Amino acid sequence: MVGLSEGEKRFIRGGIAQDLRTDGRQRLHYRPISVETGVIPQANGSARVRLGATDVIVSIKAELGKPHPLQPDKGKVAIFIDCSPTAAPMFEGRGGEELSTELSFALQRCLLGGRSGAGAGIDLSSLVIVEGKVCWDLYIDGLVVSSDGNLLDALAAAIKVALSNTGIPKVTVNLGASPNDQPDVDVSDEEFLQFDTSGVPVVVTLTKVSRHYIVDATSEEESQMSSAVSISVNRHGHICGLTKRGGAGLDPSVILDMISVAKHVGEQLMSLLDSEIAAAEASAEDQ
Amino acid sequence: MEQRLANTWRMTNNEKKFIESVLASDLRVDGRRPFDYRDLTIKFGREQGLSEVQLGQTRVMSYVTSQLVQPYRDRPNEGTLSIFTEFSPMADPSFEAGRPGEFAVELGRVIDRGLRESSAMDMESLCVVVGKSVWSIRVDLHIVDNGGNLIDAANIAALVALLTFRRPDCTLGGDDGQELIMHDAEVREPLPLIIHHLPIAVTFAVFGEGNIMVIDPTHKEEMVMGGKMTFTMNSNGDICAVQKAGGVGVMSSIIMQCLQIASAKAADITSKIKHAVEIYNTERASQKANHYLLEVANQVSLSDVIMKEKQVENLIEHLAYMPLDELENSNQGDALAVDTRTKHESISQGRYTRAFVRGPANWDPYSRGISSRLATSFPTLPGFWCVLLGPKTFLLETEETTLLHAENSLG
Amino acid sequence: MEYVDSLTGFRLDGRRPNDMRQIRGEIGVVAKADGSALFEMGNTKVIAAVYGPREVQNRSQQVNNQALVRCEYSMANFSTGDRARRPKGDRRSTEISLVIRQTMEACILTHLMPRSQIDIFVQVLQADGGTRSACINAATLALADAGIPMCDIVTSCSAGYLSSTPLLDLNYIEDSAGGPDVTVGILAKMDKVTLLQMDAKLPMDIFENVMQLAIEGCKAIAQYIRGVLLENTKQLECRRGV
Repeated sequence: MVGLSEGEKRFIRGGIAQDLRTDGRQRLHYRPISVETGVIPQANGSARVRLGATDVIVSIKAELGKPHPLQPDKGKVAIFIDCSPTAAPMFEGRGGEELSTELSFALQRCLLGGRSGAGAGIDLSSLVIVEGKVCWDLYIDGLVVSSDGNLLDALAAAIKVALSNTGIPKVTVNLGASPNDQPDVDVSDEEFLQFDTSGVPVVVTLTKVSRHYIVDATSEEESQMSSAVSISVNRHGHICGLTKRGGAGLDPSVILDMISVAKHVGEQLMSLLDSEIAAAEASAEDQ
Repeated sequence: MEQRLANTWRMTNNEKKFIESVLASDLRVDGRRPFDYRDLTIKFGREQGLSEVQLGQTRVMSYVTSQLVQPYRDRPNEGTLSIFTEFSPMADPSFEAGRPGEFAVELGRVIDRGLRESSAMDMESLCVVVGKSVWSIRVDLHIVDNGGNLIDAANIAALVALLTFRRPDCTLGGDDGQELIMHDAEVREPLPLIIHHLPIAVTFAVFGEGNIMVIDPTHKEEMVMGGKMTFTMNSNGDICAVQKAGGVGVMSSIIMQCLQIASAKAADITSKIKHAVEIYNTERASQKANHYLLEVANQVSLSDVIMKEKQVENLIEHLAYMPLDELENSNQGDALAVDTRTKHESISQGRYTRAFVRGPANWDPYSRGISSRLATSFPTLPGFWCVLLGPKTFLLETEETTLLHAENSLG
Repeated sequence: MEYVDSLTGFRLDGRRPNDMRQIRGEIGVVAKADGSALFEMGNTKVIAAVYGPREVQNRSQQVNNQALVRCEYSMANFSTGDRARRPKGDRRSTEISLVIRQTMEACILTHLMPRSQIDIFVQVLQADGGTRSACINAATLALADAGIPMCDIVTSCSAGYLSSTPLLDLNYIEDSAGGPDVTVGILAKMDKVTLLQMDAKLPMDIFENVMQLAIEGCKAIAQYIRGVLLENTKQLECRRGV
């Protein structure tokens, strides 16, 4: 990215202070979101979310696997994010690896809860087929095609939409003769169960620029940030995860304030996404 | 691109212009005509499966090895072939040690496509146990000197190495009939690979607007060329692979013309390769025949020396394949059959001499009541090869002559 | 396996041997890039983004009389049917990156932009055969969108030979059948072949037929691409209020 001049930097900071950003938005407004589902036909579920110029594609694939020995009643979910060099020339070769791993971990923290699987946004117990033996492994692959700031929000939204679009095939289980046998699992090609996404949270990233915080920063605004806090909020207004980036220190009261702002904004975003999902489903059914 | 750019600065504008303008009059810098190959020399190494090819100034070495591995899941009855290239920095200053550059990857893939996709090698014959173990053939190509046209030279080197490679024979045996026994070279003759046809790569360099073509570009011509085309063909007129990765555009009619020329060149090179391999094979066969003669000799009973049969066999095996550089017995021949051929370039002398000198103790010529004449007189005669055919009968061979001295006939 | 039905002459997906798949090209999909395009050939979907001409990042590679063209080809994890974690920089990707770069270099007027660098990044979203060709077509559109001067447009198409019939534009199933696969890239107006790759055995006369078929396909794609570019220019004119 070409660097910003001093004048431009001042303009951005001044605008944010006056609640009028470079593209005319207010501090707590999101850019227009456009959502598309089913963009990858061979995946179990997929979605493409455009947040202004940021463009991300998420694909979900379900494969049969064995549950973790410590959590025999839960399925497994793995999140991998890849930054395509089309988004920025610096992602060429292995340049995008650092950002990719950072995003993957942040999303895992927000959506998958703690190590024991408690408090996960995605209900892992719905993924188990035969307790202790067979479960569904969900592989969530995200690809950042174009990057203009606020990747985490866009990816989380895309994951939420993709999950709502995911159909897990119905399975019929033929238990083996003895309880120690590997059960025979018959995966149906026809019927699908829609994934339950009511508990999936959204991520709201608040970027602090000088004394104010903004929602949905563009990459130019992000270059001026002192720190950023990403909070994942679910439908009930509960906090599911929190990540702070950036070197500047934050007063605890500021963080609490940010959390309440995030809850408020999160609700709006959630309802917006829900309506988009419904619209996408409706149009898919029409087709 | 980086390689060419890194090298281009070494070439002066005068040289570049000269090559380009001279090509316009159908001449080349080294005096060849546009569709002439440089001199091709094929050399073989001591071991089977090792070859060195020299095409003008370009030198490529190739080494083939085999290993038993598990087959791929979707191809349980086929062996695998993998090609590894090493662009040694001594070949060209722009080659870097370690990670292969773009051109190394391209070369490996072009040769791989020519061999694998055209089913030149029979992969199913490499299967030993379906789904469990197959032979994996690995071809290592080392670029020793980059004088231009690496693809052609490396291809020939790989083919020659594959043709002369012999893999160990293995059978199922053991207690339950499931164990895989690999037989040593001495016990069972190693097997050649089954190669149906020889895909030969012929590279054209394109100059100008795509209307000037030459075969077998030298290093300097490669730096000036606008594009490169490689056709891999066999002598049956089949095209095995084509690689023209961008570069100056060429009319499709010219491409068909080049195919015709490439076909003729491929047939020519095929015959050269076959000729060289044939000579090599007959040479090796005659060497083997001489070794067998040794074994025959030792089956005759030797009255003076009594030894256990097993130890004799051991010793024969040691002897038959190990040239020695000192005469261990005189040619007055009473008791011993000895292979005393000297090889001036014997590589690991220690290995060879050790095996003989430390044979089984009661094979020690000095300790078994052999006539003391032998024990005392030991002239060192290089290049001799003495076979005992019986008491007081011996066969003496040097590089040039064969003498048969027999006082008694064979018993 | 019958790749061409002997009675009806239709292929596995219902096309005729000389039919190409549905193609679609869209310009300007990546807002931040200097030029970008999305190209679809049937189920194969590819995005190309061009950054440049810009300053050379690695001074040692700078060329004083022409632009440096770099290219990277990458496939998304979900692009093929069986999800496979692709290591970046494996041999196939390196070779295809080299091929695309040299093909585009042949048509870019590099001498007009000395000491600069043009980056072409191609990302495969869905792979269903013919990814190489889709990448080159997308790169052409993206370069045009970036306003980089080119001597001609490069288009590419693949053709094969199965069940004794030359087939145009193979999909993944036909490609993995083990038959020959000929990929051709041409400079449309000059009618010159710039990219030619083939694997598997093919007799010479059949090769000529298959190559000609692929060239015809390339010409058809070239016409479509010209149409897309003209349409795009008209829209730009509209927005400028001309």
